[in-house]
Amino acid sequence: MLTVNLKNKRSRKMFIFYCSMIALPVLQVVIFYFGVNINSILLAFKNYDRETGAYAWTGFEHFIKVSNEMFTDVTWSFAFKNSVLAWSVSLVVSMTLALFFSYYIYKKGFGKNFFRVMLFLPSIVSGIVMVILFRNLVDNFIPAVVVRLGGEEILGLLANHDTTMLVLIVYGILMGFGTNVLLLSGAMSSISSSITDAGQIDGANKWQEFWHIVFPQIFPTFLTILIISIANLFSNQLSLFSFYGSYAEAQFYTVGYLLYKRTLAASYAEYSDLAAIGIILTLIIVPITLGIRKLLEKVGPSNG
Amino acid sequence: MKKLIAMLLCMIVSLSLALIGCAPPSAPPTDSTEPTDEFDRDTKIDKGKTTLFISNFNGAFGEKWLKAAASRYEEIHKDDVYEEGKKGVQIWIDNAKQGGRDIISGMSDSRDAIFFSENFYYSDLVSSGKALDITSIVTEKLTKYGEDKSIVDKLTGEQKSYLETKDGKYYMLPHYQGFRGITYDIDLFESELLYFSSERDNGNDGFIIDPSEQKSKGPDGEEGTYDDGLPATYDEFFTLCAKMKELGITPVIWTGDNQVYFTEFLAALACDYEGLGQSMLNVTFDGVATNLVNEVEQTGIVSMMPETPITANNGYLLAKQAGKYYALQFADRLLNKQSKYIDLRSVGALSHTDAQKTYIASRFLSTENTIGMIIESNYWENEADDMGYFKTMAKQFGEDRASRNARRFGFMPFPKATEEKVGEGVTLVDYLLSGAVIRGNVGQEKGKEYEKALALDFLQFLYTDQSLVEFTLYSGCPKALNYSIDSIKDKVSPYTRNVFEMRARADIVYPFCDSDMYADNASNLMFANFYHTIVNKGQGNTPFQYPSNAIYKDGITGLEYFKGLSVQFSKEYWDNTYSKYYN
Repeated sequence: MLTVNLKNKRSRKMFIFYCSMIALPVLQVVIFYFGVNINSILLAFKNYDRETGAYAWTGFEHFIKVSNEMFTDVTWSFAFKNSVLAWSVSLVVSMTLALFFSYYIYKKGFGKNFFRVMLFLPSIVSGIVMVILFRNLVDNFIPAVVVRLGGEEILGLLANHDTTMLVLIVYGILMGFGTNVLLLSGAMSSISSSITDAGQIDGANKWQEFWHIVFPQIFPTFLTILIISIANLFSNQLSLFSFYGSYAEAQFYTVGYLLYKRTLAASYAEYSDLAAIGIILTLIIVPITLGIRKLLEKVGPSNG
Repeated sequence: MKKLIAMLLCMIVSLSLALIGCAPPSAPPTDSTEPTDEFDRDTKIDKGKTTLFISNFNGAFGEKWLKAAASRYEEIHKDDVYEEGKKGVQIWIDNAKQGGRDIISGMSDSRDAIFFSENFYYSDLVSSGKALDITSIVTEKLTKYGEDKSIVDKLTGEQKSYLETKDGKYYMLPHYQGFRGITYDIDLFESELLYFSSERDNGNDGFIIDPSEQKSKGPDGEEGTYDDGLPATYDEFFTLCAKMKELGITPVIWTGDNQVYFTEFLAALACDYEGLGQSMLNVTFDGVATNLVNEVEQTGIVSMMPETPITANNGYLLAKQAGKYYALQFADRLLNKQSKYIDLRSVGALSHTDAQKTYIASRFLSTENTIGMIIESNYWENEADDMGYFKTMAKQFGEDRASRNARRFGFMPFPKATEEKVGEGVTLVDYLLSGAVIRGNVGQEKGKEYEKALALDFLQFLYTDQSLVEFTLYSGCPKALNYSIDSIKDKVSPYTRNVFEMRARADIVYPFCDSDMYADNASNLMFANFYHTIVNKGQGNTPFQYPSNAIYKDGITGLEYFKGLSVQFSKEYWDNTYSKYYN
């Protein structure tokens, strides 16, 4: 806790330094988070008036319209389904792998630094570059190889609708994997070696060490990653915009992509519907996020 | 010292984050005075002249047209004084790729006075108050340029009713024109005898045996016109595709990256069936629908509904328009996997420019199958030229064979769905929503009071017949106004001539109107969005957005796709979305 004594020269200087450092981020949050979101919330209750060029109050009109749409339009049900599917597969596969890779790195396994860099590389390289490389690989290179090997001309893995969703999810996992490994291995590295040493003296094998010592120690970090991923459930685009621009096929939409695509094309009058959708999605996801956090805090391993 | 370094580092980090958002509107001019192109234009701002900044959407239509017009304007006004201490005017072009919606939100703070772009929502532009009232230059007769008509006289009735606000003002002018359609390779058609003969039973499946043989009448049903020998009906079109396959030619290619190209092509095909009046119902929802499908029997026989008045209340019935049914049947036949009429990359990851390059190169490269037709827009030839594809080919295979002017492409008039439709006129769709606008606060800045009059004068200058023709000369494309290119016919490519020939005979659909319902739902009511469908193939209702994907990749038939349009655009959907506009 920072205590300020303005009479004290050093304390005053510290305070000025603190203020100057914090001013810009605070300003940014005020304008681009609170300003934008408050404006967006208000917009959901307004209609665009073309005569005056301003938005006028209209009540819950947009909420009724978009909630009807969200719960009856099959495109929305696919978007919800895909968002949940992408999240759950990513959670199970990506988080499990990330945990074990992090543990491998923590235990200073062979080539740990190599793996660390390679796994984190996709997160450093520009997203659009990765998309171009990946798309060329799955949509151009693989079909070319098949033909070269004497096979029939085939569609690429992204172009082929039988494999599109799988490829998108795999890509999502690959992209998110490195960040999770970095965060988890960072958390593991802060575990005191005396604890693991004690475990080894008591005869714990690697699995027991991981499950009973390491995992409980990094559980807060694990929980944070998990909660963030749940909070992002409806904003995850599954890289659809990077791969397809505004032209992804409707059966692969996620909620995040659908909202983004509609916002890009919207006229002034259509913004109110989108604002209402944003609020409804928030109302759905906030209790889920808080509920899961509460639950996991209760049932999760204790490191105490 | 450490503190100072720490402070400096902190400042750099903080400022660099803040300054990310402060990029200049365009790359600053270099100091070089070397002319960069054929128009001999300066590459730095001339402080001895008054500068007028113009924003140009530098896409498929390029910037040469604007440079040419700017050079002429500068020459005409070289001795005029707009500001104290300066003589003459310099038109400065800021090339950009900003669509209309982005322009509206940022235009008040821009240095550019005039904006040329596409995808403008006109209603938003007007209501935002950010555009200048240009009524004076639009309605004034262009007598000072030797013309006896005004710019408004060069617009169609639909354009006028859309652009003229309720209080009789204009805030935007149409810019360029884009039609989706089929381009064919005239040289290939001639060398491979791919034209239909006037004698159907000539022993060659109806194709000419000799170049001198009389060709069929084509879709316009008239002899001796530009479309002679071209497929008159869908059946003939697929006979042509089959013939091409026999000859080892891949009939059709298009971009696989943007399937909306193909959907917009189908929408254009549907509009050609429906005609201007019926097509406009999809945005006005005001009129009588004459071509609604009641039922399609297994045998393919289509029964029609009686004439049905269309209002906002029952706009969903337009999902049953016969034009959409026939267009989807066309897609079904084209995308048939067994027939292999398409280059597989058309449903893969081929970008639109790569599709153009492949089409152009396929005539020469042994590594490519020759491709007969490309589904694109009328501006593709210019876009490919700007990308250097013709030049590359010309370098390799000779100017006389492979340059842009040596290649002969044609814009194929849409074949008709049925024999009965042959002889009906052509209908084209300009889907680009392009426009030219002037910033509303132009001339309000202190010391720049001259800017408003100058911007208005330059914009008017760009819409004189001479400038319109010049636009076509340098872009190979039409502006969305009525004018003739007779004076430059021998200077443009055969393709451009062909497009103008067809345009002169066509009704043109501008898919927008001034109703509240359209203005409030502009993105939803784009023509391509009427091809969202819902089909149940045994795995529950599934949404599809692009007929090409659904038919080729998901095995949906054209008929299933068509029936699904009425599931997507159901009464319930319509009531929920548009009931506030009901009469």
